[in-house]
Amino acid sequence: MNLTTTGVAAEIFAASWCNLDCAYCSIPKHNQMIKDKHQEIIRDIIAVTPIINRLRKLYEKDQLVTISHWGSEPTLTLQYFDDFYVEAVKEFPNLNSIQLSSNFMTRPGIISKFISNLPLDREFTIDVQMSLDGESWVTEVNRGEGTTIPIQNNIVQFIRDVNAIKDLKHEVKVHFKPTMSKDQYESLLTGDKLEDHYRFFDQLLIRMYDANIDRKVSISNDCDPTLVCPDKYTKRDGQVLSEFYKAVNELGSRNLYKYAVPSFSTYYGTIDRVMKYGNELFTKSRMFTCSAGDTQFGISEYVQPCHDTFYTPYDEVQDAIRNDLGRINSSREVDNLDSGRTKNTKRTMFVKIEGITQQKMDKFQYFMRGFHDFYKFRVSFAVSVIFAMAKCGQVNPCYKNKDMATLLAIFATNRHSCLTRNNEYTGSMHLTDPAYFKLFGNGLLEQIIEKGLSK
Amino acid sequence: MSYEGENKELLKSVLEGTFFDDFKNPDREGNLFGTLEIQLTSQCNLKCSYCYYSNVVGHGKELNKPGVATWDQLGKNTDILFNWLKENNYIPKTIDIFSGDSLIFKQSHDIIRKAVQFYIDIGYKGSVVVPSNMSFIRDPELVKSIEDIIALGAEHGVSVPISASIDGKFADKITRLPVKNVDIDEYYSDEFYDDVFAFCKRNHAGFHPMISSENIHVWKDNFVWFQSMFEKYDLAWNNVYLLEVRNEGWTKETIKQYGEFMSWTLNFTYNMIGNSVLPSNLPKYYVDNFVFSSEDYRGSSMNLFNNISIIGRGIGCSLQTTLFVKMSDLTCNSCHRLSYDALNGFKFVVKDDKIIDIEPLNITFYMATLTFEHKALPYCENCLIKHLCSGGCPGAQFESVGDAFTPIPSVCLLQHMKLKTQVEFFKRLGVFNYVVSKLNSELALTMIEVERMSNE
Repeated sequence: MNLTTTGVAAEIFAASWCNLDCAYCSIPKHNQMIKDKHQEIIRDIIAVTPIINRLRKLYEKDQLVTISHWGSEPTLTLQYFDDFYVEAVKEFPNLNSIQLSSNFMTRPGIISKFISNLPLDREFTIDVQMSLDGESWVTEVNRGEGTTIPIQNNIVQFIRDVNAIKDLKHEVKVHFKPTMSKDQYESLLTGDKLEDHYRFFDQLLIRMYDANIDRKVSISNDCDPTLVCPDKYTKRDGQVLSEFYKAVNELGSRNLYKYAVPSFSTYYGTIDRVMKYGNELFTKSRMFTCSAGDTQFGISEYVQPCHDTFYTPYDEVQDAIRNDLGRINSSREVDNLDSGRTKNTKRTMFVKIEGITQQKMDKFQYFMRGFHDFYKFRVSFAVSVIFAMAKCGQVNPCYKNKDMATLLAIFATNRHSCLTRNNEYTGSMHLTDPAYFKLFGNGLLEQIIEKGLSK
Repeated sequence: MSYEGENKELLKSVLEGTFFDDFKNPDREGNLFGTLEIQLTSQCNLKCSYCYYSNVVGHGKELNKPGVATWDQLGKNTDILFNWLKENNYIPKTIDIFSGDSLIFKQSHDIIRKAVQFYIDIGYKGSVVVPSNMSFIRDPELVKSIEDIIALGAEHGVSVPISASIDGKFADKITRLPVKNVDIDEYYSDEFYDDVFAFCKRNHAGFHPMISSENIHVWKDNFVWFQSMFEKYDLAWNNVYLLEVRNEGWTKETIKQYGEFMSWTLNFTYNMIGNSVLPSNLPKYYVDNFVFSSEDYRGSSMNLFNNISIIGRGIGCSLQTTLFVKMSDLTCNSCHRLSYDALNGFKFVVKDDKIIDIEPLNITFYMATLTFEHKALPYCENCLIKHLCSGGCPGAQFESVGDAFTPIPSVCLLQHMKLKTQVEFFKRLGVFNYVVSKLNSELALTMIEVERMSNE
């Protein structure tokens, strides 16, 4: 029995514990449950069949292509996955892609050893996201004291280790994921901090390329910061983001760095995509949503849209959220819990895999497809709120114009179409947090449109 | 300005452009946001099978927890709210009193009286609408109390329409059981119904029974019974508003039964009208005056053609035109059925027994319900019959699917059946093309397409 016909990717709950406690992380670390869960996950990985059986139940044999390791820090369990992948390649003939995101605070040898131990009768692409936020004044506020240098060194060592793997059949890719709070964005606009941010990554990239002697690792040079999401964004934050976009593009035009390319291209990419494929927005809206609950599912003992909700079913974690209020956005998380929105997410976005039936899965899929296959309501809601915001000056006056409001609505709903967060924060997966309209509607989108028109 | 400050500014701007503006101009032409609905308690003596508000079978415990407010508190909050309305010169055209049941508690009569007094004080001829399951009829003191209030209103031009929520002799015993274990035949005795109809006759009250998947199999007998009671009490035969319960639970079998009942009822209405119109004029007369309601029938086609009428808002129910306030804590929600804490829109802030501010809660959801168009919702967006569908109930959808904006598939089938039955009926009468000619192009094209498909 394969319960989905659309699934090509599985995000598996591969680790519950983390060796860091980042300021913007939504997972409260101070509770016993996530330690116990971590041990349970390790037992499941070593036993192989529990996870394989879950995947087998849900995915068509020929259809599963990608497994990504999520939860907290996946390298804490990577060493137990050797037997799992031996079995997985037998079970899923087209499985050829592995993804993980690491804080690089564990021994880098764990990842390279995992890669070298993968079955040799299959050529894999292994995509590793490297969570490093920037210079020490950013990274150490977000990730804890004394983290910046070890992370850099471990990244370089990882590149070196991969290059040392003999007869490597697999393709290894790496890219950065720097994350910053809104205050840190604003700080970057003072003095030389913006230049220094990219210089910091440029110098690290130089070391990485030097270590990549045999070019066995494909390195992405993108090191633009990404914003903590969600957060309580205001009109002022939107103005800062607009200034920031301008400053990054000016910096990019100066060609100061060997590898780092300040560009913020991800934002332009969104509008470019809408311009190219906009006539399919309302007929193939799934082209513009993320893959959560569409072609990809989060797999723990529950099937769910993606990794984002791995901790949601557990009451102990929710208690911990109430007690761990130092994290960015924790007050809104508590509100989600107290109001019952988290409870509704638990009710609608999870199906226990043990005892799952086609009927239960159909109900889950009906819910998800409502998001992925339909767009009109999402965008019309956004337009009406943007009009209301323009009326009271929370976005620029140009958004009183219907076409501009629609463009901002399309841009924002495409940038932030996170159905799980929408459901938790607004009570419906279709409703984008209006904070994003303020973030993009105070200069940023106008700049991007100008850039597009000039191109 | 802080995030919270901006949310408050946005909410105020939205309210000032909608409810507060229309409250300031109650008699302005086009007043759309003129209704205030106050919710007292979810407590009720019945446990109706389809009731979301019931603490026994529905979601009542989550919707409005009994015991969170005493009657004293509810009365005090009513004073606070009405004083705030007066201070701001806000006049809702209508005040709806909503609860589990409003008339079985003596204390709620005091609050209804306050609503009537509010209109008397400001000299406005508004309406205080009170739906009730009519159980109060068994207590003469309560009957006297509400009739006194009705009389008080009438003296000052304030109407107090009572809407009788009984399903009928055959259906009540299935869907409207008492919480207490009693002899159901004794509870729903002929004397009870006689008292109810006599009250409704005296006080010009209407009936709004519910057609549900649980009671649809008795509805033909039930309808005939309603007609016999209308005749007995000299009430108009169309003094009934038939409302389909749009909960999940409709099955292939019950939808088929619904179609048969609808078809039979449509024929009944045609024959009734035929009693007073020349046969040659009848088909077009029926369409002109009953399908498209006219004063000849007090504007009531018994809700049988609600899907065909054009509405100036995004959904057929009053959700987008009513300011809904939970009186237990003065929290405002999109509607009574969406009054879950998760979806609380905003709250009146009270200090020294005065409303001094509003506090935004989940304004994103609130604004979404205020502005959505049901034809643009997921699944509805591409549906053939979206222009001739009265839409689902967002509250039922939240409870069933988990999302207020995603339809319940079995309710979609019910809506299809309703339209199919209407199309077949119009064809039988030979007025299909005439009905189509009276519709706007979107509705007409839908009806033509449904007719074409039903032939294939």
